[in-house]
Amino acid sequence: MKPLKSNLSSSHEQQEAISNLGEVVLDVRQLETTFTTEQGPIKVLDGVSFQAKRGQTIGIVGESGCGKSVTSLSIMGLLPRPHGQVTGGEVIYKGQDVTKLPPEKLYEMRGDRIAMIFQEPMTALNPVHTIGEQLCEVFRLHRPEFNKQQRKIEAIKMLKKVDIPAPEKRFDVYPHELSGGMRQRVMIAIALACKPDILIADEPTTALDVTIQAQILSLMKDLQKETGMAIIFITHDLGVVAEICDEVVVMYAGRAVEKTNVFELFENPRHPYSRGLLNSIPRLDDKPKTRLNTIEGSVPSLADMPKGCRFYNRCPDRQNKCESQTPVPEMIADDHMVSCLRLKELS
Amino acid sequence: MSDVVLSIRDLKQHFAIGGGLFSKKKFVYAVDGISLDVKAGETLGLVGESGCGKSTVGRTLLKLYEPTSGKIFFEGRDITDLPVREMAELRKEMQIIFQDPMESLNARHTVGGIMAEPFEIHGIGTPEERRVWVEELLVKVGLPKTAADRYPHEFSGGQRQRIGIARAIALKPKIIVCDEAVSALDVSVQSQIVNLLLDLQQEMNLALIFIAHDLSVVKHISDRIAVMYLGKIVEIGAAETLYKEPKHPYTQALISAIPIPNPRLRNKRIILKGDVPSPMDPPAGCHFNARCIHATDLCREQRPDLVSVGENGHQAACHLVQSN
Repeated sequence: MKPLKSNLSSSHEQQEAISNLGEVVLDVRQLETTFTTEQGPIKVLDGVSFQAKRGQTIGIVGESGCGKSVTSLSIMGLLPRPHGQVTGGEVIYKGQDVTKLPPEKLYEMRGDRIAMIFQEPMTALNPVHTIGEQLCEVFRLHRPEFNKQQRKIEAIKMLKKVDIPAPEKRFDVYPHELSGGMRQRVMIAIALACKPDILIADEPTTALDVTIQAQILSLMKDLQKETGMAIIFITHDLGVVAEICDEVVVMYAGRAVEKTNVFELFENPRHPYSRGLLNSIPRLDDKPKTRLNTIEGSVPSLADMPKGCRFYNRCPDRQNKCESQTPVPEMIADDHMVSCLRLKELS
Repeated sequence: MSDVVLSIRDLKQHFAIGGGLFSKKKFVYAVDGISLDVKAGETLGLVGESGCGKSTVGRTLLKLYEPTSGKIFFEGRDITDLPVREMAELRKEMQIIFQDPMESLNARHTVGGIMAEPFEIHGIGTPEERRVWVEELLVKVGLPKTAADRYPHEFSGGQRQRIGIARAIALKPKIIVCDEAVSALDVSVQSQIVNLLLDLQQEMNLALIFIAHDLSVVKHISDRIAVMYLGKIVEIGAAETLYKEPKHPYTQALISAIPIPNPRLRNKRIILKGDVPSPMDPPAGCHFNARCIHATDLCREQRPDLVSVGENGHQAACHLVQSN
């Protein structure tokens, strides 16, 4: 039995969280994930490393199929079994490797210390339970010392925290009665109910309108300031990255190709893929009806990856060596990693 | 003007819901009095939050839905009440591209079969001729000729959208409605498709109606942009002017909410409170009054009309702009 503690607003706890800003809470080292398919094993993640720090947001950005979501599922131990498996590297949380934790330990940690929100809150929420019931379920699982009344009080507090109007009334409504933006707020309330150290947000605003996206991003920033949680923000939208992230990992076909702070990435991108990605977004100050820059071709299928650099077939700067040699990550500054064979020549 | 391809005047589309034995019939005012003109070679962008009626406009003006009231003109000819047979003939001239090409392409047919269909329906050419045309079209949208013998699932999202575009241009239409045509694609692929649409438009002098929620893409591709809110146009004008000098508070908020890919420009947003009200029960007065920071009593009582607020047909529907 855990000692009885107030879940929210324990000021001592909060003070501690805020004072350790920048401390590494989750250390992902050389993570490798393999899927078993009819064509044999496919390495979906190949040596991805990054750190989530207290009070900071790390973005994982890339196109579909680059392994963004698999990264989050690997951390959470939610890979589809038995096909998906972490086959290398480690994910260190509080001194232990979470990829090797037994299921019941993982079960305890998930939703309590590490929480997650998804793109489509309508599929993540249970349509046959009220949002109040779903919020209380978190407390039932992770705060068994709470009685029914305490659970309800805490749940309503959470709804208030995510700016849901009339939270006492909303406690009894079903997910379909809410708008997309409100549902995502409920998801955030559920995820943050136990004050997690880490929040993994997998494209949380992709399905929302820009105006609602702006609301949700601002809410996430405020809550982060208040609780000091680390956010791992997965997105394909570089505008959103610029808005919310402190650090960014650019992924391509299961590998991290560049990792640096957000300013450096936008002002001094070094990997040809990062450059291509930044160049191809339409900008508001472009002349209308001009051709956009593109990256030719599309992401190769995982079963049919180029042998050397995985960006080889689309890279505007490729040379013969890129076809056969695998690039190794290099640090070009304290916080700037690039993985490109032609790094020295391309500056 | 002579080169206007399609015009709509005071178009309304109200969907009835309920009306069973015990419930009163209610209406969703999806499109509530919209007038627009689209010229040959021009792109008109249609933007707004979900539920504002932009897709309904796109579908109603192609007569995929029967309009509740209002008029639709194609090259000056009133097609609002055109008989089905004549309308079918006219469909050659007006096409639509959807968001998800996987759902709009028949998974059981080869790409060649899917693309020959428009020719078959309209009885154009022999099977041999059709095959040649299909291959030409595939090359035109940047796919190999051999694609004709493969099935939609063998292609990536961007390639499937190219197939959707090839099918839409097969009969050399005058106007294409692009309903969130690039929204499901990755950035690098999205830019390829935007370029393809720009090229085809120039080559074929196509009129495009580009419906999307991504305002940076819309701005990039459009000549003029109409901003919709709850079934009505609140502002319309040249793309450049609309983004530089938005007049309506809703347009201002919408543009300000776009995340800019520059981390040094954070925290300068107008954040709108609340959601779009239900189109079943739109608020009295200006539809936007509940979310507008400038709303006055007048806004809560009287609905503003669309009036001229600048050059090149820049119009806005807002009491505050009118009083200035």
